[in-house]
Amino acid sequence: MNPQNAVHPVQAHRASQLPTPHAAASQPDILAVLRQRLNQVLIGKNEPIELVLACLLARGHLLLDDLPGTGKTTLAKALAASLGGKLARIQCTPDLLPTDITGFNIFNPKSREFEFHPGPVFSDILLADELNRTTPRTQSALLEAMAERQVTIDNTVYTLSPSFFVIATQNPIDSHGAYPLPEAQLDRFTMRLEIGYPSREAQLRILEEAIGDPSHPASADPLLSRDELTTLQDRVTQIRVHPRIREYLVDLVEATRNDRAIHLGVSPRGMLLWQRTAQAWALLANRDYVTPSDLVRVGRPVLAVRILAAHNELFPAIDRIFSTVPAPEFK
Amino acid sequence: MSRERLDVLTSRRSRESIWLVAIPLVALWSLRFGIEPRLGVLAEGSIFLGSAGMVLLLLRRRRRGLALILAACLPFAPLVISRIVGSLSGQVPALEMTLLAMLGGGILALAVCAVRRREASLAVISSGFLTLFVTFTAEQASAVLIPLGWIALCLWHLVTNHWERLDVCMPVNVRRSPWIRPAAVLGGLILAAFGGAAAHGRFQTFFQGAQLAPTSGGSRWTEVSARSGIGSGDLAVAAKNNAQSFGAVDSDILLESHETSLYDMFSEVLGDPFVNREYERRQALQGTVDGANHSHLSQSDDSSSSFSVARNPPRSSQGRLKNAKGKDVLQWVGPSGIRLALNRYKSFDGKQWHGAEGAERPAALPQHVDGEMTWFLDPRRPVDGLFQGSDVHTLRVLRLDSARIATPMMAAAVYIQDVKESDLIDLGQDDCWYMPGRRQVPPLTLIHLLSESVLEDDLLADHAFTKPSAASDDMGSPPSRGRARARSLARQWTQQLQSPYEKISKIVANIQEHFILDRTSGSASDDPLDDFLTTGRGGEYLFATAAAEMLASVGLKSRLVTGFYVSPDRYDRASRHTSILREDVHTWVEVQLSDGRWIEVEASPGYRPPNFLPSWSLYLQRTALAAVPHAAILGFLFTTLAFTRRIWVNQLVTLYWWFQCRRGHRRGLRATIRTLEIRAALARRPRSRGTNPRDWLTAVAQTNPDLLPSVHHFCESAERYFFGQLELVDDWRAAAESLVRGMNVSFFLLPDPVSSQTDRRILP
Repeated sequence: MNPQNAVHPVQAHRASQLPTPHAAASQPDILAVLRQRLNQVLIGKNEPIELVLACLLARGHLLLDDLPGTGKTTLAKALAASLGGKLARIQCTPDLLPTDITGFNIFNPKSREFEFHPGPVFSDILLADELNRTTPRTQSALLEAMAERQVTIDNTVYTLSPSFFVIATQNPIDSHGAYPLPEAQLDRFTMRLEIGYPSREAQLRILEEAIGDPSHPASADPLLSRDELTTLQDRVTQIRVHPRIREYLVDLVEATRNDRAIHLGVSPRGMLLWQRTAQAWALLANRDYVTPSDLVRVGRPVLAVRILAAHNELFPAIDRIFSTVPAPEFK
Repeated sequence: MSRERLDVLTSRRSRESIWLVAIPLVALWSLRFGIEPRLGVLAEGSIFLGSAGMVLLLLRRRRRGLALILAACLPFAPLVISRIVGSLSGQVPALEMTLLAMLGGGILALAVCAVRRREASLAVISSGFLTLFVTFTAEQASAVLIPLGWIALCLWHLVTNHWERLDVCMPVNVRRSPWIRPAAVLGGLILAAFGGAAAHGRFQTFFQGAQLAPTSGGSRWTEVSARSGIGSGDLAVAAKNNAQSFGAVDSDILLESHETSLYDMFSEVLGDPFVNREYERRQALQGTVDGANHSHLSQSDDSSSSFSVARNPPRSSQGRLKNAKGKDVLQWVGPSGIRLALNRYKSFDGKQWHGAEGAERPAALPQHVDGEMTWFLDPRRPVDGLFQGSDVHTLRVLRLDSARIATPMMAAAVYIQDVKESDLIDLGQDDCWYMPGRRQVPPLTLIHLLSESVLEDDLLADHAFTKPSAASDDMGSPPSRGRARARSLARQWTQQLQSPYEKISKIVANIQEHFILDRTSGSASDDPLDDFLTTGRGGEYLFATAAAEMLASVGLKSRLVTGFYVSPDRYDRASRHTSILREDVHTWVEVQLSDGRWIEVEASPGYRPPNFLPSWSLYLQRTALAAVPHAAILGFLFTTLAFTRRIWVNQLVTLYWWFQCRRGHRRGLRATIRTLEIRAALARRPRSRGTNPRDWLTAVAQTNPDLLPSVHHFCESAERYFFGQLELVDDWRAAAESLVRGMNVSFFLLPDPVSSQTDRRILP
């Protein structure tokens, strides 16, 4: 075996667990290209990219707990460019006002009318950095927009983009002066991810590709229109979920509510988001049915954002739940 | 499970239905424990409890198919156990008991596996019937507690689950009414008590006055006597009841039946004694019963003077007894398979047995008054402790022309209602109870008999038995050839044995093995015992005679006993007594213990031996000793199988997989994953319940990455079929075969190169 082509067993195992397209002809090619483009932008992060895509197709919102410089903005930009949509970015600071997010009416002396200036929420992809540094009032304004996909300003309802997708970040290190998101607000996010540092090989590749043309042009051609994205999102809702899979999901959810280390389990909204995300994961695997593995794959990030447990007991509790709740058998 | 289905693990209704089934089952085992071989009853109870627990465990693990299979086998367990017990101990449990246990097993299986309310309700109803059957089977008065307990629990169950519907109510809708359930239970018990009192005739006057009681058969229409009474049922019942008052029958109707003597019965069944005297022969040949001569003839045996073993073959059923009406000579309320003694003979002259002669007992029998009962006691038995640990049974005399009282082994006390005069009951020199001065015990007399029991432990002691005195019992004549042969045989059979009890057992076993019971054969020679030993066949009296001689030759004091055998086949379930007929006349042997008591020895084949129960310690010791070779063999077998389980289990599951793959996609896919799971379990690397098959197989296949494509292909096919409900093509079989061939037991023993935990973490 060529050492250069050798694959680390861990990566090989992880790769085998990613949704593998059966045949290019049967899966929308666009998703494959989108996946490839994002992998070019964020090297060595196949699984997080896949989860981001699943979150997008599930019409959910993403919370990134990540360190600075790990590619959050790059990912958001690439995603926005691929979708042909508008990317908005806000840096959440303690003095950020709700109107800075939603928009505001301002009086135009020339026309002598109030004109509405839309805020960053009126974009397709909104990157909200360090959401935990802004005040709860401002947080709630964003979260309301996330939940209802509309904002009300001066008694006027403004509908947001149907593909409105929020990527919010939290800095796990710098927590000084932070306003941690309450659990009820966290429940509006579909999943919590950490991109993390790239692997050694990936870092070497990053450095290699940076040599020469430093401004590696990311392709600006949109891959998906809004309508196409909406079609895919509608298609996700049609993915079949076998009754035993649903029972498995309910068992998992109930286990989170009964675990001794978990203070707050999964809500019905979280359960719905979990199922929807699993459906999206099945679609990415070019399947029209959900398998137990899909629930497990997306379950960790879905649970990580909404379960309340002691700091060091969250992931052991999640592991315990997955290991004790009986999985559906082949029968 | 959907909400409308019951969960036996959590449903109150299911748990209570199981408890309701348990009541009659436990009662049934309690009834059988003292009667049938204990090992069989314990085994059956253990199997029932273990199986029920195993079914619950399987249901908890959601292996409902396996649980149903195990539950379906439960009703057949009593049948198998009864056959095993019968072959091991020679005592086959009564068929009706086995059937009841099978019914209980089926109901228990239904209760444990019930997933719908109607199934649980059916189990409850069936348990009620089982309770009724078990109660009817029991003879003790305390058995009434069984249905009362069931009624109480059933009322509680019904009120809780149907009236209050606690299992379906929302908590806010539950109306707190703590008085309903206790009131329902109390009301049910009061109603049951009222019904019991009515059944015992407490309200007889009321029912008669209200003309609610039927007149045919009398006011006690359930009485068996009323059903088969002569003429008016009321009078027949009165005759029966008043028999307790010492035979005075308050009735104008006399039972038209001939009482027959023991002599007559022996003559009819076993043949007339061969007599030489002209007068006696003339008497014996008379075809009709001559009252005076009949009395004379019967007295010749009735006075226990002699019993001849030289008898003509029995004739066909003609002659003096053909006009005898009715069948029951006696009726026995007690255990069957025992013997009732009427006459005892201590010495044998080679042709005849002779009874004890001597002066009558000088003093009257001591009495013991217990409330209204006056017991006549055997003066040789100490009173202290006599009534603890002894059994009391009832004998009803119907058609026996004898003043003797048929008594079981070790009868120590007799009681007849209203009989207190000391001269009415006595104990003869031959240890037979009788009524002095009377020609016969009045018909319909009820006699209560107390008999002692002896543990088998006591018989095993070296000095448990009395040695015969030096004086010969041969009445001055040299022993006959038959007697000499019998003694020689006995010494030959027992030369290696030391214990008297072992000698008795050996002699009895050899007699039953080498000789054939033939009631139709007779021997009119001068040495009937020699004829018996030569021909190898004869009646019970010859078996008993031979056994008595043999036992005496090995140093045991023995005597011949004549009377009746209480046959288990004649038990009347409706009237709860055993009928004793003419043909139940019997002969056996008694051997004396060192304390003066006599125990029975049954030498004739086809009759139940006397039941000497071992103590618990002896029973356990004997059971353990008997089980040692079996346990050793089984232990070796199981150890071998355990150590080689990986080999033969692997072969079996592979065969199972091959067979199932030819039965369709579902079975083939299921069998494939099960085969791999079993192999992993053998290698102590079982799949955890929370790991789905794909993730598990993928993690396991890291040991041999060449299997990953097969894993992927197989899992895709299985998920497509089971979760996508899509059609399959047969290409999954190649992948399955690759996995089954590649993932054998040794494969699972290889160390994992990748930890399954690190793969799945998204966040550190």
